[in-house]
Amino acid sequence: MRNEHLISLESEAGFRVLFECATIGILVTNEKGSIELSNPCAEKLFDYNPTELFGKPIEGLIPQSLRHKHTHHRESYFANPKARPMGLGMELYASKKNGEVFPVEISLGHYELEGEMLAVAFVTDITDRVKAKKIVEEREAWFRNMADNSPVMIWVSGTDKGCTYFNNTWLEFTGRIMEQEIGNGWAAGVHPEDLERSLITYHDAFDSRKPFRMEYRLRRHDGRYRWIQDVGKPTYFSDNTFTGFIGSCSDIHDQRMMKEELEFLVRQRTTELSDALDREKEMNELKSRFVSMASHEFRTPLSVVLSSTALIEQYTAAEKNEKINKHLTRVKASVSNLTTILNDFLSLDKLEQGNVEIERELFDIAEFIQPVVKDVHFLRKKGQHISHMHKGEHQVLLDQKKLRYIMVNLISNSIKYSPENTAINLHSENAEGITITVEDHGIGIPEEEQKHMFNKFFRAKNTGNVQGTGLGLTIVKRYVELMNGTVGFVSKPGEGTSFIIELPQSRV
Amino acid sequence: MKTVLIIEDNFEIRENTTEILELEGFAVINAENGEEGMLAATKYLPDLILCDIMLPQMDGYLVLKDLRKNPLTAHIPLIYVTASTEKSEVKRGMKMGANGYVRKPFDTKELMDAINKSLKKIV
Repeated sequence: MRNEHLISLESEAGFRVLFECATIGILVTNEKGSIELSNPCAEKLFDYNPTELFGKPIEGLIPQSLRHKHTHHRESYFANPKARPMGLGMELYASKKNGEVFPVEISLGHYELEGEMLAVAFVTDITDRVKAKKIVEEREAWFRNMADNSPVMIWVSGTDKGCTYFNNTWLEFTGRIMEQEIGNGWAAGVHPEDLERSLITYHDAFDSRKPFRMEYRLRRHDGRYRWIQDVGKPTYFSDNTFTGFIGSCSDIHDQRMMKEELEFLVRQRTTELSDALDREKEMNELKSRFVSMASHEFRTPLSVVLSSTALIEQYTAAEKNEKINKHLTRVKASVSNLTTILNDFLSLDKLEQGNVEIERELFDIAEFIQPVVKDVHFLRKKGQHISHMHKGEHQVLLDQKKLRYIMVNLISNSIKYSPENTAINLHSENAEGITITVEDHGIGIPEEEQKHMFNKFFRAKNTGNVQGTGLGLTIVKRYVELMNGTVGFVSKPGEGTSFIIELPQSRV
Repeated sequence: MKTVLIIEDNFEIRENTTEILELEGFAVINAENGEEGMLAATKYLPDLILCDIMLPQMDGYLVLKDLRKNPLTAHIPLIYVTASTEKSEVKRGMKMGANGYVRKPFDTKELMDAINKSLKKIV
């Protein structure tokens, strides 16, 4: 019978080639389960020598534990033979000659030869496929495990925008099950006020395949809404096929609340500061207006006092009355003092408003100091002597009016704070820059107070009842600085003080 | 004898300045506002004018402007006597053609220096 089969196959050369060269194992068995025919691929698959399988029971190729079931399956097949895959939906295994079990895929067919029914099994070794599938499954399980244990909430959507996966962290947060969340189910948990905006962001990003970042409130399992930051990114296969989006969400509620509170506080504080600033500006303007008004309004009565004094002086000149003269001198000195105070207030206000400009002009400094000294002569106490020495180039380019104020202030201070019969020495030198020194032998400045000397309204304790506003030196310093110079002093209580001014020489 | 016109709204200052100038040997004419001042200037053609800046209605600037417009008075030197502490105001006056300025309160010497300087320039 076997020979006849062979002959009939041999007569069909094409079919033989197909049988011999097929990369699928082909086994033909009879109703009793004996192998009638096997192709080289089948022999190789099961590790048998050529023709070695002939006459062997088919169950010999089935793992031992499954053999007993196969006999029954074989009988059922022969009872109702038809072409079909074997063990649909089941994992099938076969056994090699040495007993090694391997996964297979089998399809069945049948034909009748000389009244005998024969079954044909087409066997494929699917070891590699099963291995690959296992690797994919393991990797997926690993990723899923990682995703489920991640502290962030993760979702995955498909190409239709509908969500296909939420990790455990998400489900634990919302207290819902996967089936409720997938598709668009998740949207039910988004705060109604945030939903439309969030959906627009999501759809826009999805349509343009662009990453997005959005914040919305999501209902937690306890019914409370929490602010969530959701970061989504498009995903692709290795061949660049778009597969959907993946997103991760973090609960940023506390940070956001803190930020909102902080922003509120900052806004509140800014308003307060701005109000305070406005008030201060208003106060400053008021002060400026007052200073300006006072200065202007005081000048009219002072003009009357001064001009009346001048007239009395004229009318009484002939009488040579010492007492009248003494009082006239006092009135004039007081008017002058008051004018100086007014001027100081006004100058300081202008300095503080930034309304003071330096106007340089070329002049002879030695010639300039002489009349300044003369102007303060009347302030001198008995026996006070003022000297001046100049060294170097006479021509300087400075603001004459500011320098005049500086000199008058320093010299009058020296006069005020020095006793009778003392010398006040002025030195000026014009070399690399201009240095002016005003040296006296007066009461000096207490060491602990020296650092405050240029502060507004500051007056040293040892000034006693000597009149002054404490503004002069402040203005001196500001003027000197406006001319890019420096002012300093050396002082010893009881011995005297030297003020030193250094000004850079501006070139014409 | 030189004639000085004083335009000043404050009575005491006007009178005191008048007395001081008379003692210095000037003939003095008084005006207590800008309009009066302009009338006096064109009528008496003084040798010099002392003028306040802040005057009611017609202020010192307008006086100077009108003065310079009129060929009869255009040459008369004008000195501002002002209580203003704003430099810009004085500068504005000087730019408009004032011949000098004296700040209130002034002493006799300051006033005389300013007057003599302006008169000398004319001579």
